[in-house]
Amino acid sequence: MSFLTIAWAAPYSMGVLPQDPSVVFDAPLTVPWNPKQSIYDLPYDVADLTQKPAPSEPPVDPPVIVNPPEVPAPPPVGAIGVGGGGVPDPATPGTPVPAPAPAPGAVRPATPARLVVQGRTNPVNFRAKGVRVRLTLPESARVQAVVQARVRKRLSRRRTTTTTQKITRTRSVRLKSGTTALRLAPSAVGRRTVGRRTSLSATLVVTVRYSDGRRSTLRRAVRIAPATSSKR
Amino acid sequence: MRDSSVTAEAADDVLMDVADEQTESGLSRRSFVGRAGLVGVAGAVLASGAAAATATAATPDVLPGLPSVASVKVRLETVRIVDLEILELAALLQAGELTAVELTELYLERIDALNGPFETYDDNGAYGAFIRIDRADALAGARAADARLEKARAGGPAAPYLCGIPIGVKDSIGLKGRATQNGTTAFAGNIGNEDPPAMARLRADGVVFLGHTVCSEYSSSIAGTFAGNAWNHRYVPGGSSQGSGVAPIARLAAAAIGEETGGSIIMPGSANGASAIKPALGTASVAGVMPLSPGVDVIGPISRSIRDSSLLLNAMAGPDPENDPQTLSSPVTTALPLTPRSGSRPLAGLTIGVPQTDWMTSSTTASPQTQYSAENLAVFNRVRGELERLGATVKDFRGLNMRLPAENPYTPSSGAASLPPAIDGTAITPSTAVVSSNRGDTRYVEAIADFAQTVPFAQANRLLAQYGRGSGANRSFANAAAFNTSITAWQRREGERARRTLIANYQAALDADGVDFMLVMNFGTKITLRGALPVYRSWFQGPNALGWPMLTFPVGYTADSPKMPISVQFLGPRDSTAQIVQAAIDYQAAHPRWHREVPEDMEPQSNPRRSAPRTENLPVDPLMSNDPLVYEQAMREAGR
Repeated sequence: MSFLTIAWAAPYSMGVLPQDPSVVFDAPLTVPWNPKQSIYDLPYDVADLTQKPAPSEPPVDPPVIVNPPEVPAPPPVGAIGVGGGGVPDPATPGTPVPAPAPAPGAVRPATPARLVVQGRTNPVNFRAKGVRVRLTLPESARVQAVVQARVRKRLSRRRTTTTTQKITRTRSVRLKSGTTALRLAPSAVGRRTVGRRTSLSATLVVTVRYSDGRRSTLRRAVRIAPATSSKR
Repeated sequence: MRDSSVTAEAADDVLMDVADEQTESGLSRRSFVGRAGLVGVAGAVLASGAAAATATAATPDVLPGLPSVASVKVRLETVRIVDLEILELAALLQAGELTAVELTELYLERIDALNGPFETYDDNGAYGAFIRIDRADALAGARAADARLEKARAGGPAAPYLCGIPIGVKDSIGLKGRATQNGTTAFAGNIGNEDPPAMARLRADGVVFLGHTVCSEYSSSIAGTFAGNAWNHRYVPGGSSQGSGVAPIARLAAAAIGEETGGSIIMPGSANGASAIKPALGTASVAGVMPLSPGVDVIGPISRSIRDSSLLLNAMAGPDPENDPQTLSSPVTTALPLTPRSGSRPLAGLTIGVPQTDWMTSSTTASPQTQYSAENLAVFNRVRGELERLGATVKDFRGLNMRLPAENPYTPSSGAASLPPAIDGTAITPSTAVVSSNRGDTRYVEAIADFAQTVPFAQANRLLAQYGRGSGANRSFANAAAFNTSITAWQRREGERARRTLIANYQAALDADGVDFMLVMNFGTKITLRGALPVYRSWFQGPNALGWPMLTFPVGYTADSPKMPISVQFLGPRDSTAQIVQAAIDYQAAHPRWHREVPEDMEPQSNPRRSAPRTENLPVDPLMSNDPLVYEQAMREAGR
């Protein structure tokens, strides 16, 4: 508890003066519960500190990772005679059968999306239109995409630091399965950072969240630079 | 071996409830009561200006350790209520002859009339002892004390003797709900969350806290600059607990609490002619006291008589393992004495030594007595004779040569630092190793850095100038914290060992000559005008490095005008608090005129000198520093 607004602490290892003034050589710092004080008078056997090899244990099998069963792609929603995905039941043709649930404890890795982005973007085009991204998803998912870059932040001559800033707006959209083209418009920081002749290496970060909670994050390098031939 | 007789040793076991069998003037209590009945005490009380109109026949004096009500009323024929000692006030309060509210209002009226403006942090043209008061809280405390005393008189639980006694507290000691600024506006906004343990003990006893007494800026100077001496406020009040030294003598409070790191209780106590005790290290908890050097700081009472200070110290003392581990080593196990011993030779069996290595600030190593002024020397020799007539053996002895590194390895003035320097090249002396690592433990610098972020820029800058470390743009709280925590464990241990060696050496010096405790004189000449201290003892920080108890009391006054007090001090080994307190009480009982001398009230100047430079933020003479490390460096540079 602090007694005043200025909250200093009680000294925890003060050298307590001896009752008998002739006591000189006793270590004043021998309160055993504080490691800093107890280095001269340890309350335990130092040999106990030596780490011994642990007894051998039976090898542990790595967890089995089971992929989802290979099932045919579900028919599109709204197709005649079907209500959704799943294997058709031979007993009642036309009735969809739900896909079997994954085995308990099995890890179902997220299928990564395919991502295509142009290797170089002209800064003039970036300032005007941003970056085009083409994304292919195996199933519908929620997607967040943004381009980040390491930007030099100058507060003063001596206080210049480099920070990671978003140079495009963050797009957060729900996409169906298949291929979608997205355009990431430049943000205010991006316009400020990228001039007409700026060369910059940026990173496209795309986070895909599937409806069952799986997620995957993809990164691609994006080069923003004028064409080499356009250099003066 | 020390020659200690039964008579001298008995002081260690005197309890506070011993009945006083003899009063100061040598008359028995019975004769006092009879005399009081003859002279009509009620009139005396009324004439003194108090509202205690209910004074009737004296209450039977049954309270141990207190003077009788009748004897106090006899005293009131010649003095005012505000001049009474605490024990005399307690006798009136316990008997219902005086209420705590009346007493508190008496002191508040005097503060209003004589203290001058508050919160000036400068020469305010008057005593300036109090930097701020809390009238409402003080009166509320007084009313509560009155209710408690009333219950006690009605047969309830007994009220402590301190119940209803109004005191002041140094500005570096926290009080719940009140600002605590350590003598500077740089700490504006530092408010008490809780009463510190020692103050909580006093409050539990019913003590009335009038307010905070001014101290030197950051408690750093033993000269004191803001207050004025109680005998003439143009003169040095001593420091750093300057207001605490002035307030009891100027009759602005019944007593005050001071804090000492290097002379801050003893210097103002002796400069004002007060009776003050710097207790042995760890006697009272210093939690909630703004630290200067943890492991050295102590708090102690300053009052008008040693027995009053003893009463206060009894109430403050006690272990506080959670917040101040040093209290666990406190050598005071029984209550300090409150009453003088009987007989004409109460000091029989004691050997009091006058150390011949207790030099004044001049460069000579001649006997300290050769450096006193003629008047001080005459007083000193008279006191020697008076102590001898009381039965003590007073003799010169060598003492300990604090200049020799072989005898004083802790704060040597010459000889190289015994430990390798810190990373920044700072010399790590043994005392630096002890003090700085204790400062690092408390994380005080870090706490101030946090506080500085909540205050305006200029205020934060002043805190940085005081508590930061480094030079120019590198000055920072972080540097200071890094230095404090960079002391290695073995450097700290070596420092502690050097400190203990110094203590053992000094104890051996006492034992070699069979000395029980020492008689010294802090100021060798008359108190001077404000701005600088008169000639004072070199190594005045010695008792604090030793952690030994010391007390001061007045033994005379200068003949020329203005009259200023001349005080002497007892300094004894770590377990000698009860012994030196008992000896001083015996002396004051035999020679009461000195500590009962009353200064004339000085009215505030109608037009205080405002053109004088503000003393705040002026550099402190390092030789007058209360900080042991600053002082030690100055001593080394001065070649002392």
